[in-house]
Amino acid sequence: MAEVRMPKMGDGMEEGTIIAWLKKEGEPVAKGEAIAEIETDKARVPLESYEEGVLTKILVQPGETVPIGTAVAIVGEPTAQKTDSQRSNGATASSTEESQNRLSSAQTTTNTATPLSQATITTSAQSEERVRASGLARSIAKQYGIDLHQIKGTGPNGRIVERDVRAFLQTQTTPTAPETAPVVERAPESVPTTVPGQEIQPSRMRRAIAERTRKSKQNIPHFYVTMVIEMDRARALLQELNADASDGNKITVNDLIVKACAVALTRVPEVNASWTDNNTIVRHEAIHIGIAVGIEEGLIVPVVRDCQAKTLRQISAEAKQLIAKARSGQLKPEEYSGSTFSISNLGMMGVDEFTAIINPPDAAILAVGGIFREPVVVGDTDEIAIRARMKVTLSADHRVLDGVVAARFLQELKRVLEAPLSLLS
Amino acid sequence: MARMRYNQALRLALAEEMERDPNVFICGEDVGQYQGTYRVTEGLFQQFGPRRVLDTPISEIGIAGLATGAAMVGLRPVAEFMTWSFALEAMDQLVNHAAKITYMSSGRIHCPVVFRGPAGVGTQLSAQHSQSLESWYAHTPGFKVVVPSTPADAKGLLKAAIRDDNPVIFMEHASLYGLAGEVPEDPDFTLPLGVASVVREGSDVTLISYLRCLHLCLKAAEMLEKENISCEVIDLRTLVPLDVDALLRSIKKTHRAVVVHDEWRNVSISAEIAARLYEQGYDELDAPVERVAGADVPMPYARNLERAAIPNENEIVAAVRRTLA
Repeated sequence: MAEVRMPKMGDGMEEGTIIAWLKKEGEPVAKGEAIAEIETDKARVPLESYEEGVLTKILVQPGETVPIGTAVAIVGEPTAQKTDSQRSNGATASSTEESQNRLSSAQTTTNTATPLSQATITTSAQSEERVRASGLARSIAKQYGIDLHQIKGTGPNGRIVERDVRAFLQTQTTPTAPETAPVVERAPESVPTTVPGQEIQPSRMRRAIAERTRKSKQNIPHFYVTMVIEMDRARALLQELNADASDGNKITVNDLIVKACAVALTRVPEVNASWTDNNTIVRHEAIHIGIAVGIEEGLIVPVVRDCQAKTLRQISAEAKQLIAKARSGQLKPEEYSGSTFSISNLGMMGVDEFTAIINPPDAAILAVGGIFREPVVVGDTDEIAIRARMKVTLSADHRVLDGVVAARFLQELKRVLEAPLSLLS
Repeated sequence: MARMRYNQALRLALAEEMERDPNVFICGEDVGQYQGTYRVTEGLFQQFGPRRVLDTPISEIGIAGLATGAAMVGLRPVAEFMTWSFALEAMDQLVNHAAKITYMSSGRIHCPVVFRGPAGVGTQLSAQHSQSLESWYAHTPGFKVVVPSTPADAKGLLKAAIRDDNPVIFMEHASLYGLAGEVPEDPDFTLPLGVASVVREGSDVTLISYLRCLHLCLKAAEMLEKENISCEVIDLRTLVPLDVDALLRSIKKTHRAVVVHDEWRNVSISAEIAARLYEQGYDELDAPVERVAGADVPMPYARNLERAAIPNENEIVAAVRRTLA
C-alpha cells in the first residue's frame, strides 16, 4: 500500500489543487498512469501513480488545495479496499469509527505543535475526521488555504475558533501564508461596508501573481531607465524576412527584441545576474529569457533557454511554441522557471511606455512599448523627419547593478536594434 | 432637550401628534377621565375633549374593533390596552382584521392604527398579567412591532408609529414608565421604524436586546468592562422590521452575540435572531449565538420565584463568558 502525495512541480510551488480524479476508488491503476488532474499556480498537469495496484482511497476531494507532500490518495492491493467497506458495513461500525476518531484526534494534537512542513504530512485518518470549527475559523482557514486538520482547537469541546487559526498562521514558517496574511486580514475591515461590490475568490494563479509581485516589489529595490529606440530598420528587416513566410513562421518584433536582449546581455553580463539569499551575486553563464504572456487566468512567463547560442529563427520558433502552450495551460514547470532575464511587451496594445516588476531571481526586466511613427529632429541641420520609435524601460535590481550599467545595457540594445543585420548572424 | 419620564415622553408624543393631525384620537379603558392607568394619557382628556380621548367599556375586542374600523375609514386611532395580557381577548380583531385588511382589500384599504400598552414582566403581577408576547405579533405578517427602551425612543417611535400607514403593535414595559431621560422637544422628532441603535460600542461581543433587558445588558457590559471584556450593546427598537443589517455589521466586528429578552425562550425573538445570524453571518461567528431569556413557565407570583424566572445581569455576564470560552 502506498500513499500518492501532492508532488512539487516547480520552483515556487507550495501547494496544489486536485481538479478531478480520473480514477474512481476501487479502480485498478497501472504504474505511471494518470489518476488525477492537478493544478499548480502555473499549469494543469496529470498526477501519476508510482505504484501498480488499486486506487483504494481518495483522500482529497476535487477543488481542495493541499500543501506539497500531502497524501492525496492511497494505492494498494485490491483486498485492502474490500476490508474497508466490510468494516463500515459491519455491526461494530460505530465503535470502530469512534476509536479511529479518538486515535486521529490524538494525532492531530501532536501534529499541530510542529511547524507546517511536518504538520502538512497528514495521515489518511486525519483527513477523514470531521473537524469541529466555528464558522469564522472555517472562513479564515479557507481564505488562507489552511487545512483545519492541522490545527488544535482550544474552544469548547475542542472546537477550533478564530484565535486558534490566527495562532497557527503565526507559527507558520513558510513565507506564503504569513506574508499574505495581513493583506487579506485587513481587507474586509478597511473596505467600507457601504460600498457595494462583489467579493471574488482569486484563482490560484491570481494568488500566485499577487504573492510574487508583492514580494518582488517589497524586497527588491527597483530603479528604472528608459530609452527610445528607432525601429525603422528593424521593421524593414522583418518585412524582408517575413516576405515569403507563412503566418505561423513569421518572425515578430518581440522575437527580434529577445534576440537583441541576448546580444546586449552578452555584452553587459552584469545584468544577467541574480542577488542570492546569501547576499552574494551570481552572474549567469547562460542567458535564459522569460517572456511575459498574458492569458485568461492571469500571467505566465515561459522561458527561452540559452538564447546566447540560438539564432533569431530558433528563438522565434521556440517562443511561438511556448506562447501557444502558455495559452492552453500546458506549460511544464521547467518551461516557466529558471529565467535570468525577462521581457514584458505591451507594444501591441498601443502602450506608449510602462514599467514592469522584476521577475525574481532575475536582476532586470525590460518593459517594451509600442512602435509609433513620430516626427523627430534629425541630423545637424535641424531637419524634421518621421521615424518609427519604440520606448523601452529597464527595471533593475539596485542591489545587483547601478544606473550606469542599466544605461549601458540599453545602449547596446539600441545599437543592435537600430543596426539589426547583426542579429541574423 | 428636556428631562422626563418614559410615560411622560409617551404622553408628549400623543399630545404633539393630536395637535398635528386632527385624525389622531385615543381610545381605551380609563384613558380619559381617569387619565390612564400608568398616566400616559394624563391631561389629554382635558386638553382634547371626550371626542378625541374616548373612554371605552371593558371589552378589548370592542376597543380593537373600534380602532381598526376607524383606521379603515381614514382616522388614526391610538388604542390603549391596559396591559398586553388583556389584548388576548382581541386577538381576532388584531390578527384577522387589523393585520390583514390591507391584503384582503388588495391594498385599497389601509389600517393606520396603533395598539399600545404595557407589556413585560417583573412587577409581581403573576401568570395572567405578567408575560411578554411580542413574538406572537412579530410572527404575524401585517404588523409592525415596536419596543422602546428609553424615554427618547418612546417619544420618537410612538410618533413614527402614529404616522405609519400600517397597524403598529407598540409594546411598552411596565417597569420602564418611571425611567427618566433626556427627550427631544422638537415636535418633528421621530425615529424611523426598522433601525436599531448601537447604544454602547464594543469589540468582543454583541449584546442584542430591547425594553427592560436592554438596561440589564448595559449593566452587564459595565461589569464586564472591569475584566477588559468589551461589549457592544444594540437596542433593536423594532422587532418588525428587524434591523438584521445592524446586527450583521456588529458581529462582523465582534464575531459573538448574546440575545437577551424577557419573553419565553421557546420559539422566541431570540430564536429568530439566532437563525438570521446563522443564515447570513455564519462565516463571521466564532461561537454559537447565546440566548438569555425568560424561563419557559407561567410567571410565578412569589418574588423569589419571579426573579428566578426572568433574566438578570449575572446571567448575561455568564452567557458572554460562554461565547468567549
